Amino acid sequence: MCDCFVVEAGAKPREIVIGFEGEEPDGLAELLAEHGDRITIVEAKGFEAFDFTTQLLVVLGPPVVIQLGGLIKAHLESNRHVRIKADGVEITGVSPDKAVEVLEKIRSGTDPDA
Amino acid sequence: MEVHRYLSQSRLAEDPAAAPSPISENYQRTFAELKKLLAFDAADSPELFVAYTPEARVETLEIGGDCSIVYDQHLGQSFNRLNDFALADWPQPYVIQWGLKHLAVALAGCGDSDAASAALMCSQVWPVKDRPTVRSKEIFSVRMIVTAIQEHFVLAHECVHAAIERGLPTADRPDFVADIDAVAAFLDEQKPNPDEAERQMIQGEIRAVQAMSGAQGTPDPELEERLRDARAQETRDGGRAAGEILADKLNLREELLCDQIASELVLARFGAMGLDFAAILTSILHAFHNLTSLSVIRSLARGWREDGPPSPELQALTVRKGVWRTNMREMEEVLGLNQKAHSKFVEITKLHARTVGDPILFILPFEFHRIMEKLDGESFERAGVYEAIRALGTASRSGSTEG
Repeated sequence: MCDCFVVEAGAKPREIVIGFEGEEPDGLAELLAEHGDRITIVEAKGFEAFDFTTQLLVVLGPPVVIQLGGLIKAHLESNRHVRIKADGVEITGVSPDKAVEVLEKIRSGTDPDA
Repeated sequence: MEVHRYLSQSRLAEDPAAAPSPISENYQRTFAELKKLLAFDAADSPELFVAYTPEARVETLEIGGDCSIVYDQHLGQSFNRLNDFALADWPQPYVIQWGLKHLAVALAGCGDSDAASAALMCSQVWPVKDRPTVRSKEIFSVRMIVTAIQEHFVLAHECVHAAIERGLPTADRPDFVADIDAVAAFLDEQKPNPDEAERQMIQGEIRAVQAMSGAQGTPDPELEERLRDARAQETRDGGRAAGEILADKLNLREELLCDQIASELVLARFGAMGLDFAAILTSILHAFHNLTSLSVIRSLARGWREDGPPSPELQALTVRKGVWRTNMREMEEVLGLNQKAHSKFVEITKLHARTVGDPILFILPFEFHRIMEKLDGESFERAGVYEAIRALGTASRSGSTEG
């Protein structure tokens, strides 16, 4: 993907923004109940943002990756788009089966496409 | 703060709202005026963050019950540049050079490093000549006013989103919302049949080919072929009914309401300064055209490697423009403009198409594909591209009018 995902050792935890097309993703309430301290809901409107009104600002960590990956997988499988952004760069071509893997690569600071 | 963290991750800029520009106070003043007109409760009113980001994007955010509006000065700066291209009739190569720079930003945002590097490099060395260095004072003044109206419109649009979110009576228009489907049905009835749409697209192509041939001295058959492909794609994209798009995009109704109320706020503000109502409305339509050109560039960045589905952003903009223009016919009657605005709308639409719209829609994709074909298999030095993108335009951060 791009060099901006490679983080130095000791750097602060990786944050990402995830946008869900259409209605709120299933399982969001459970995710918030368990990892609410790591997740902020951002409702965004504007000239471009209207397709992804429900966005999550997430501080990635090993526990949140698995549950969040499941949420993304379910949303993608219901034929609705999910947009993942880190440092302003969108991670494209995420398939349902690779969602957890991609999040883990971003979290650990390795290139998601490597 | 969450807004800063959100912007740092969603945009190609590190904490873009952290250091307000010297002119951010101007936007804060306008924002305060708009909040007063929309009757926000002081204890529960939105906050304005003036940012400068490569994306040139404005948005309204609701985080933990707090509403924030992010105004991106780069959008105003882009409007200013596009207005200048149109009003001062800049030579087409400058428009392509500008388009390549914005394409580089959009490609970087899609994680397409190689293509972003190529677009950025080409933008920096794009052959340009005959810069219109001397513009009349009249053109300069008109451009400043047009840009100011457009920036005010965008900010007002976002404030209306916040007013709707707060349930303020000033943004409650049940009659307008109830009429949206009827307006969309009217638009669909007026929509040219596919043959007519194709004829219009071919006319656009011919204008673009003529302009390009004039700029380079020789007609280019390869260009013509590319343009025909682009036309076929555009005919497909533009063929979707407004009613169908509205049914798909539920939030689009709110955008239409924001456009309507924002137009009224802009008319009140600039009308009170003695400006001609028809000219104010024309500037707003020009803003829609500028937004469309920016949206075309983003769409190209997303879909240049393969023919994807039509851009939802472009489709939504087409509906917004159509509904707005239809509703402004009624506004013309209320203001007693006697079709004056309508004829100005036609003029600005033609001017934008000739100077900016067609080059961005037809020539930019052609040139970019040609660049990428020539560079096929080349590998680029990626390390510097994100830093270069982040630095784009920061030297001009002090003023939207510098373009």
